[in-house]
Amino acid sequence: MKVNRNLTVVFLLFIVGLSLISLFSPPRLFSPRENRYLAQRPRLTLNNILTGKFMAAYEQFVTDQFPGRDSWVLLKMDVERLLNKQESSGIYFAQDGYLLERYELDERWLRQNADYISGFAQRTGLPTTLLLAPTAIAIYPEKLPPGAPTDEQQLAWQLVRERLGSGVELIDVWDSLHGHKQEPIYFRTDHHWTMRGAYYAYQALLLQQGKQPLPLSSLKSTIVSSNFYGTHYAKASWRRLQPDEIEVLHPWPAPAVSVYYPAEDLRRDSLFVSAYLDQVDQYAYFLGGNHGIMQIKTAANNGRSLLVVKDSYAHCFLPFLTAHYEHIHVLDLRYFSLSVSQYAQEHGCDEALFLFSISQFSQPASLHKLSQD
Amino acid sequence: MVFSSLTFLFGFLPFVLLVYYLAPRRWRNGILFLVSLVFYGWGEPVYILLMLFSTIVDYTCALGVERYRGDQRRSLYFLLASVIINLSLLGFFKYADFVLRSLNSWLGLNLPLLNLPLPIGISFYTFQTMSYTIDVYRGHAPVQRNIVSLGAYVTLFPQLIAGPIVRYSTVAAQINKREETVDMFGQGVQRFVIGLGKKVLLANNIGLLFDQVKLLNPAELSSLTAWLGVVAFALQVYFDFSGYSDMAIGLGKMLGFTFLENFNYPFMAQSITEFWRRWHISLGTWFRDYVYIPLGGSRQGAARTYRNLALVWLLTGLWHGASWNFVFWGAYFACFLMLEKALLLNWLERLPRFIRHAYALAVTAFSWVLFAFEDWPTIKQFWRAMLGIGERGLASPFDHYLLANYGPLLLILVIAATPVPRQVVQKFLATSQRPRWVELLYPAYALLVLVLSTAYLVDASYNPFLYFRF
Repeated sequence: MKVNRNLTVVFLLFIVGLSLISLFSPPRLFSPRENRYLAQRPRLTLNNILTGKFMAAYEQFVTDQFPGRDSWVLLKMDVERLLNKQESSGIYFAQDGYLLERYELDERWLRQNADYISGFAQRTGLPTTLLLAPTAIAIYPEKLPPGAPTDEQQLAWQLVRERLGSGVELIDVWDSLHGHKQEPIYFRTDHHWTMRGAYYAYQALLLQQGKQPLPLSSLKSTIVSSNFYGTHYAKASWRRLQPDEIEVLHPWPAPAVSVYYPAEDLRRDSLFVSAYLDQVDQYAYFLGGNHGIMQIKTAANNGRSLLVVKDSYAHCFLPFLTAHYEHIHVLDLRYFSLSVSQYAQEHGCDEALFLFSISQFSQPASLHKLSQD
Repeated sequence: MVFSSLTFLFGFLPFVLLVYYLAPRRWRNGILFLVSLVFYGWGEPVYILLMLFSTIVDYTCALGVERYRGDQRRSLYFLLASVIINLSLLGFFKYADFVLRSLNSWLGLNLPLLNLPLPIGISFYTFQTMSYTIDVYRGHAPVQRNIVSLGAYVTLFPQLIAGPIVRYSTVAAQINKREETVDMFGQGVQRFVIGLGKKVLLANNIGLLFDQVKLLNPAELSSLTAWLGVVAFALQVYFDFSGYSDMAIGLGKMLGFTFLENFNYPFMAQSITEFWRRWHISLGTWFRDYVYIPLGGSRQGAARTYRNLALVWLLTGLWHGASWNFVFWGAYFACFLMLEKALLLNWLERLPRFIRHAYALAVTAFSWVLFAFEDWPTIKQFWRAMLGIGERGLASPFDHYLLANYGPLLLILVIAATPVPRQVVQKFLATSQRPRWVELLYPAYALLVLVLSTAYLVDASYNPFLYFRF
């Protein structure tokens, strides 16, 4: 019968064709879309086969190096959306093009992390401030698909407040951010807040410390990119979304500033690194991405020195602080293994600021390193 | 290796087909034997030895049975040897820890567990190889004198790890002589592609719904959540399992074999008796022919009949997994089957069709909870929620979310679980005076399913193998 002949031809062309392409195309090393290294052809040894390691690695290799991998993944997401799927890899497809990541409250880690910071404040005696940044899902819950499960970040924040010792001041940024939620204070496709969002948190911080924040009107706004697709976009793998803009707010004319990266022995005279705007991770435009240590020297000329222990939410936040401190020492404990208190002492820091997103603070965030002497 | 993987579809399968069809006919059983061992060893290489051992044991035992055909006693010894060895393999690898755990908890002992990885598909192939020796003993199948041919039967990769349980008598003639044709290959493609779609596109995706429900605290289930979870689980198991059987039957056809059907729209059943005639048919008939009937079946009075039913169903339950919930699952069905035999079937006959249908669906729905969960408190709370007497009422906002996300897929699955799609195809496409272009719909549909399945496999964050306990 003709039908069966046609079926046979189509089927064989499909599986043999793709096998051959897969066999003869050179493996890719890195996937820019997924922002990760891809599995390579595993080594064929007797031992690897007997333990089954070879087979497991080979399956991963075939999946990672499948011809046209990105197009297949994107096709899948299109079908998923057609079937009205509202979530992908923990990211919700929310209204107005927002990709909101599900938040999971973990009491154990929230308490643990709060304790590490209280302990640090007690041992060093430094005036210590903690700023916990809500993630976008906490500010825009009304944009979520109805009934989408996620935990309350307000609850997490309360939990930390009750747990913290008296030596740590917890900054309340909720009203400030909620009050400006009509403005673009979070990226739609990335897990960070925008520089504008960071500004309102900065404002709350300074007011609660009884200081005068730079007024927004004194800052110049520049759109440095309008084709930014962030980490949530990569995670959710759905292509039919508008990119984000990256807005920079800075005093004008820009005061002199320099950033020193001891690990690379590199000095830059700007807080912003334009080269990253051509790369996938455009958020690295702010301070050049994650580093264990960054030392910022500003024109504030007041002798004050601040220690900042942070995650990447700090990167678009710190530029505002350059008006208030002459020295800012920025530590990222994921890439820093020395003693923090010793570092603070050696560099004459007289205040400490801890800045994390609530989501990061609900996980193991390497803060145990604070307990080292 | 599993069929629903890129390695199988774009590595193993094209390679096997190429070698198989390039080789002369007399080599083909040998090739099947070899590639099936590779297929089996892909996950756990050591267990290839188990395959070879099984092959040798049953080869020898059947030859012994044949040789002493006139001598009842000796021939029976060989049969018993095969049955005992096969059941010991199954018992050792699958049930040893279960027995140890049960002893530990009843007698307060502290016997160490073996923690052996279960050889994949052991429940399927031990039943298959046993059937070979038994069939030879009963004179239902000729003895196989070529060990490579028997090896090809024992390890035949299409049905090796997830059924159907192919009896030797079904394929005896095909093992020795089979005719592969383009026509048959095309039928095989059609069947394989449908099975692949069932597994990768339907079962895996509805499985995500059940997984979300499973993560919830069972005390906090609303009635609707529990029902969504149960329906999702039932559909996942059906499409996964029948998809695997379809792929097996299809692959068999591509290689020139014809296997028996394993599923026949089970959710259309109007009684539990009928459900089990439509669900995993090869297992039901195996137990019928090798356990139930030898015990006397239903011909030795009511008491014996019920004893036999109870025994067969406890064993059927235990076959599905080495833990108590599977035993209860079997007992649950035994109760309904006995009840139906005694009186329910007579009553049901007088009721309207939709009530009979609803009865069968409801009884199976509650059974899936026993199948899915191991611990009694969870099962109880799940049942309470299903009955609407849970603490969380009838519906929750989360149900709204689940329905929005899985509603369209559920609709597709429910339609696909009925014979309606097949009837539509037969009515409009399979008529003799169809227009020429209609013929193109088959390959176009196959290509669509292949492309979508590939897309889902490339982004395979979720592709479970459900039979790791069988």
